[in-house]
Amino acid sequence: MGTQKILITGAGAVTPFGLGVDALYQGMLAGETKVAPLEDAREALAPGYGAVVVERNKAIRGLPNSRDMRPGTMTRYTFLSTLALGTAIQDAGTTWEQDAESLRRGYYVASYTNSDKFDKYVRFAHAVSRRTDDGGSEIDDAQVGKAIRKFTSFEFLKLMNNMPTAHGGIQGKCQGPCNTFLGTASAGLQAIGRAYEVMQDGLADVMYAGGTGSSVHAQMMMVRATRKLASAKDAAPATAGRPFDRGATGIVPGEGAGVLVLETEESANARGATALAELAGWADWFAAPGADRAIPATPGGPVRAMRKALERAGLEAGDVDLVVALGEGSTDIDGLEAAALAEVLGPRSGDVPVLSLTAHIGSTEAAVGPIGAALALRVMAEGKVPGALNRDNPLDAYAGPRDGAARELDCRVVLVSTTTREGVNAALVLKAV
Amino acid sequence: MSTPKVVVTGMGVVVPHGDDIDNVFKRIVAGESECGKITKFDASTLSCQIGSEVRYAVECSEQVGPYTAHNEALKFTVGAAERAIAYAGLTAAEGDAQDRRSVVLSTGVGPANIDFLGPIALRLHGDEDPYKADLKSFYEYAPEQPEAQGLDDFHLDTAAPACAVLLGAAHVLNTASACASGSHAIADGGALIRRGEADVVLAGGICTPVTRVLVPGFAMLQALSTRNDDPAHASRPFDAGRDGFVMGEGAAVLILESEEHAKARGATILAELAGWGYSCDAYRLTDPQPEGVGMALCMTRAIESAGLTPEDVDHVNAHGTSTPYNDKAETIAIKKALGDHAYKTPVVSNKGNFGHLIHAAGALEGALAVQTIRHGVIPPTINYETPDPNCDLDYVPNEAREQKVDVILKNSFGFGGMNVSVVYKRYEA
Repeated sequence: MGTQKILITGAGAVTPFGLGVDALYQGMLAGETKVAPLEDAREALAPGYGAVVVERNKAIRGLPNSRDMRPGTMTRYTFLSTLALGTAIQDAGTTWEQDAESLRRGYYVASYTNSDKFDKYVRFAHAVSRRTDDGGSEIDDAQVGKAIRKFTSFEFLKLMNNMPTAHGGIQGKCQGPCNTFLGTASAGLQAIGRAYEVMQDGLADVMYAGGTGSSVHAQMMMVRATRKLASAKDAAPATAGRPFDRGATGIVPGEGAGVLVLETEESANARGATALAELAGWADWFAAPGADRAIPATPGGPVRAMRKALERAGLEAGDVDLVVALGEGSTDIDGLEAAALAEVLGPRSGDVPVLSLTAHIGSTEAAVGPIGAALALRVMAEGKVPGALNRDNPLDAYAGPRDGAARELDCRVVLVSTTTREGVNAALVLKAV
Repeated sequence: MSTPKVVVTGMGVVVPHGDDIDNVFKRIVAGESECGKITKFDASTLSCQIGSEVRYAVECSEQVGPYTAHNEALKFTVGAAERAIAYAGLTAAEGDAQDRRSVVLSTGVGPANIDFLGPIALRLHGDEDPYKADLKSFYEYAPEQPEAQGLDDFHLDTAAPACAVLLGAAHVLNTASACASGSHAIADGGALIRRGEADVVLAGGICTPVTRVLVPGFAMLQALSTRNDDPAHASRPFDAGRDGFVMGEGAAVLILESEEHAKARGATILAELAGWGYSCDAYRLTDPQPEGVGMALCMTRAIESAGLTPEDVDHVNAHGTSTPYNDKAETIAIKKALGDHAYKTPVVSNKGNFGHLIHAAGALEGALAVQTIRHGVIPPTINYETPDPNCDLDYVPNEAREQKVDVILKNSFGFGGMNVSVVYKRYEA
């Protein structure tokens, strides 16, 4: 694909299992889930449960350039990405000084939104609304100036969608290419893929790249509830996340962030860094949804993304040892994704483990690909893959393993794949060094 | 294999000055302002009451594939994309040809409209104190209410896919780098072509920030002009009396194409997208690095990317927001990047005419840069009355200047210290 070998020299994450990738990996190996009932006003929003990151503001202490990082100036999305980036930098051992190296360092991060405290928006909208004589309502603009004072000035700045990147640029002292990629599940892999490309263009030696997401955020829970995409309210939280399973009822809210450290081979060798894997290829493919934004009838989009990524990596489907898939937990899109995997993997479908984070930590939106890639690096290093949780009655289209127990795996090539309701599909290929 | 040359073959806008880029350019050259009192809502009690609005009905397709252009932001996007594709003489690609087409669109703010939540809360809670009302009951009630569909407007996630349907593109990127976004999308689109991944890219941005939340919100940041009694003169880049920017709305996109592809289909090549540079200040969220280090860095990188020297730059289309900090830092940065040549180089900000279109700004101003090369007229920096000793370059004050321009450096700098510069160049076969 490219002329330069791009290595992954570090990975960071924050998930409901805690800070760092290993906390997630160990939890998944043990077959645990962090999906639990919510204990605040969000319990009224479908489904009333989710997987929450428990780290507080003080978790930033001890991370690189923590003195420059102010949690009060961050949305939930930015806070999560800050934790993931900090742990990634520590894992890779890259510097975080502003020096000659920072000129060749950049940061790409994906997020679906960067919303803040949704309750404040609700109260603001209520405060500026008044009844009309016909029983309806209208905005009373005279109240806006007063109601807006319930916000601080920084609350508007921190809402800007590029703020996760802006904070990360300061945190990691990145003076090279920095950008934010917007979207749901595929945006995180697009951020990593585009970071790979700017490195191929010679614009950076080190790129931090990943995604952040929170579907347990009240705004996103209301979006899912309104669109009838949330999982069932009466489901048992621990078994609600059911990727590729007939019993799946919808999206289980979750949150987290994941960041990879990409580095040119020359840069990694020069500082004696340990390579966790090679980022061998990536691709994306957009296939428009059907009428009324229905899931496409055929899996052509994700199939093309996966095949192109493998082709760019100089590999074939037969080389794939592990798939990290989305597995949203909705039967329609999971069916599409399962059919795509079956088509790409062909006769090996039954043998290649298919990991999904959903049953363990719910939907993490744009973070799912980067967290999945970070998890895959642990599988490659440890030679052991978590089992398939809550997948005991799989969809017809699903041809992969369903065993819930962890098992040994000589894992040299990983295909990370995401597909979305918007029709944006992405795939990444990791290869052992 | 030689590196593909990137050319501009189409432009489309839906902006305050109109939806015909040729006519928009004429109005900008004539020094016309579209900054005025906000009409979308009653802003009379706010500290900032000024906006640059699209005050005409936008003509565009209502349905694009599975996507409905049901709100203003989507209408602006679809309108601009349709005009750009038509300008370039393209039709939607089909089948495998879609693999060679991409969309890179910045949609950072979106409608940012939370008005729809009000009727729901009012119906449920009535005259109860909004700040004491029970949120749990709101969350139980709201998702079933018809107004809750307004949440779909909150996330502008169908804008870029709709453009992809119009262009017949298999690759969609939706990005945001605040005020640098429009140029950022164009630079990223150019990189796709230069890298050989795409033949055609639709790139640009959309922004609709003139809302009853974002206007007072950004006014609290002291980023907006409060010259409410004189809106047409509120946006005054590089002038000593500048006091902030004016929120503007609209969409602007360019069609970028490989030279080979454009020539093969007999397209009219409007200009070359010769290079681009990115940098991040890594300094502060609100303020640019005061010595313009990051800004200068991306300008230098863009000039190098174009294979040019600072002396080759004929004109700078500045970010020029009309805020005290930006215009001063940008002036310092231009001098750092161009050296003594900065004093011989006309530097213009178009934001005096239409304020700051945030995510669409770089794309609109990029289109105007292309027009400047084509027509040999540098638009003026309007509302320039009192020189600022900190801004001591040639800003082409108030009157357009006829001048042959071959190379334009276009700057776009965003909150959070994100910087992008793009080089537009007269096309030579």
